Amino acid sequence: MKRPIILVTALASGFVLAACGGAPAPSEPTAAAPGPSAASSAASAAPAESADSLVIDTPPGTGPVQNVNWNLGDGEPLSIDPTLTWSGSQNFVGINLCESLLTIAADGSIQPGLATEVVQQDPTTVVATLRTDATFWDGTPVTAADAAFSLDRARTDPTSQYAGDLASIASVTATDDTTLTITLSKPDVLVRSNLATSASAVVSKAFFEANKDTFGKPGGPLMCSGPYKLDSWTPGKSIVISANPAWWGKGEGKQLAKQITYSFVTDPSAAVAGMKSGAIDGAFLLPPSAIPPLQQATNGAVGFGRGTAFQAWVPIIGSGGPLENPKLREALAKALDYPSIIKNDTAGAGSPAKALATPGSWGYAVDAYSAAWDALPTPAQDIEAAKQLVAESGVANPRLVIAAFSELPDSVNSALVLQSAANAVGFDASIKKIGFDYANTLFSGAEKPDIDIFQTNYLSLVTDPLSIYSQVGLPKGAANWGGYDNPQVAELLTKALGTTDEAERAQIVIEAQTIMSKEYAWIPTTTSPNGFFLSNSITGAVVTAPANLWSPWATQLGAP
Amino acid sequence: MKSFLGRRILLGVVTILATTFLVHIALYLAPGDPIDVLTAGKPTTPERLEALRAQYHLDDPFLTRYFSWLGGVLHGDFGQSAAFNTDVLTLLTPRVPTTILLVSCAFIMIMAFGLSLGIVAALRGGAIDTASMATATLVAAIPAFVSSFLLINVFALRLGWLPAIGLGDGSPLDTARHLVLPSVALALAAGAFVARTTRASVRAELGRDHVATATVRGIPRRLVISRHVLRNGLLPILSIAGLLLAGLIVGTAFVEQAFAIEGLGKLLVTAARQQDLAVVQAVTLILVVAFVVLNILVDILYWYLDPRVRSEAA
Repeated sequence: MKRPIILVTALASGFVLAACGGAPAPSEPTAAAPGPSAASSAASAAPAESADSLVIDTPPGTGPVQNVNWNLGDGEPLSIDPTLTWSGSQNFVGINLCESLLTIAADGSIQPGLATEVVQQDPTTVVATLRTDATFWDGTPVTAADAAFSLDRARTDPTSQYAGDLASIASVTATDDTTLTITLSKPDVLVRSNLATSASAVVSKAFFEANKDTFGKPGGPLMCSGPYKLDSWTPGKSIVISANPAWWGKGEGKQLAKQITYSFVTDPSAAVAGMKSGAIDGAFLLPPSAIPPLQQATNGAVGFGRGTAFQAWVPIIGSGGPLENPKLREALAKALDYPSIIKNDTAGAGSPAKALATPGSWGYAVDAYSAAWDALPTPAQDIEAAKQLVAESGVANPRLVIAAFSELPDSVNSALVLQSAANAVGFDASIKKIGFDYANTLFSGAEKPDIDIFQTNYLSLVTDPLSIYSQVGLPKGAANWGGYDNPQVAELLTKALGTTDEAERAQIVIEAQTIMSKEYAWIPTTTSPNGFFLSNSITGAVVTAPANLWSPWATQLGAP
Repeated sequence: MKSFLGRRILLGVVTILATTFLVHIALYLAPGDPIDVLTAGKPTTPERLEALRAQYHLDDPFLTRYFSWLGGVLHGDFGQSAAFNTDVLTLLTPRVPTTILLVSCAFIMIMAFGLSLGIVAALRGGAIDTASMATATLVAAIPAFVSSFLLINVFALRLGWLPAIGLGDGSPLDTARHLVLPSVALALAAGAFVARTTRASVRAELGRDHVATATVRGIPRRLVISRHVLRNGLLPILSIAGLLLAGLIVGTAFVEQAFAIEGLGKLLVTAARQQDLAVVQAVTLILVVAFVVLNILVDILYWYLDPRVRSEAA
């Protein structure tokens, strides 16, 4: 069986091996590295702890392809207006159409996009310099006014998916045709990372205003500057995009795929049939049930891309429940059977998550983060220690109400696994089945006195560990669903948000990571690699997250 | 005829209204909140939730929602889909022809194979009868999602004769190739049912006095069968055909899912899962209207074909 995929083994140290000429050199704290293909390499120095087989990249295509059929397993996008797109499917289309100021490369580094550089002049001022050669598909130039308009929309529009990520921006001004000055209301180094997501995607202001009601909606028009342009969107059937011959980044070996046709097959067995029969050339985010049948395919291969995604249990700490006691959180962590969780939930591709910022999220100071990761204990089952911790907690038979979405079989299965593990070490665990109507209670900061723990599959959308830790560790963090509150951690994270020097920032974040891991702010279980399929006739897909969300990965697709 | 038709149509309209009202109540009472679809699970600010709720009228009282929906439908406006972020008509337009095509193909297969198999079994008897009816019983018991799975695995993946999913590039030949497997999957169980019913009905007619009389009077068997046996024997098939056709439209929910065909059935399943009230309502309305209209058509056909119905109505 032909495998058009570079398998990188021995990845435990978490180093990113650049397999495609991307530049893993840590970017300067104040500017993006000058050029997407600056040759540089990071070498893995630490010895392997385990033998993971995760793909960092697939070799770029070398021959032209008329059309690639790509399936969006989570269904038809609701919109491809970049300000409204957030989930996998939408970004897998949109990121090839609409460009942002910066991008995130396969190795996790931040690279130039529509901006040649983004400079943090002082803790509250960020200045972006735009390329002068970028044009929208209609031929009009991309100006700072378009960028300012787009960014303002992303941070203020009530339906924007990025308003929260850009909350610390106070104003955006087009200083001249190519300069954008962003003023922050408080120091926030994550703003620069967020400019590498669709938060900063630039749409044509004039076109948007003329097509407000249909812009990016199913069947509606779009006007951006990316390497592919929207040919047609037939709601319920397909989205077709084709190579933009006027793209500023065009060149040898780029845009080999002339056209990409996205399908929306959500049913896992139908998707498997489509891939095995050749109707579908590739897909990301395969559901676990699709992986075993696809591993028998002869016309293509399954691989697992590294990423920032992980699975974790979120203990409810701030509602006066039993898990307010850190000993009981640790007891749960020691009660779980990690190898079987990895086998069942990630088709064996995951590895134990030592912390919330998994190796894929280290976009800078890789050595420091790697050393800190190695120093953390590997999650492992220890029933005796767990029993001991429950005994020490001073609570006999502590209550444990596990929330599970009744509509999601996987969620119920995970809850059953935790229930039996918890009961085995002395908890009195029960499962409370909840509906999706409960989701807003779950994912808001509101008190949750009737449940003690729930599971999440989460990922860091940018390659800065500070992102996930400030979401979980700050009292008002966007993902602090359990009410974790440690003033020392909050102080560290706030300090890190104002630290532009990356080495210095990494040390502060690592300090916070150590405390949060020890206190089990969340209980991470496994990394969740991106399972993907590529037919033998196609190669070049960027398979790591969040790079495949935030870089125009279709430009590298082609025949092997 | 006039009063007969009038009564039928009135009953149809009442059925349609009652069904849509019931579906509305069911969706209203179902657990879950469409707002979760709109936010895609991302942590969201209260202001954004507020804006979304207002945009999709999620906070209007129940009856207001129902009657404004009904009023809209009468003006050709099926409302806004919360899950697809577009108006419902845009979603329906490409899917209605797809589903009609699929259902028509399946219906033709059912009638062609079901009728001929049933007639042959009834007239020939013996081993052919036993074998075909045993097969029909077996096939009738296979649900559409199982037959879909088997057909895809055997004919698309193992043998590679036909495409596995989708409807192809749109050219007539390609569409026909893509339609074979889903149509067969949809037609199998219903075809077997038609075969069994046809056989039973034709058998019953063969034993009737007027058939015996005709045979005794020396009328050729060919004529006895075509004029006396089949004409009467196939009447019951007409009445189940209307029901079958409506059932096929519902059956597309499984088949379209398995073959990744974007039709009404798949839309209904997706929308129901996502609590997309406007879409579920619209698809239900189409199903109920199709059901009612088909049954009125069958009643009218019966009126012409069966004198007993005419005399009863008079």
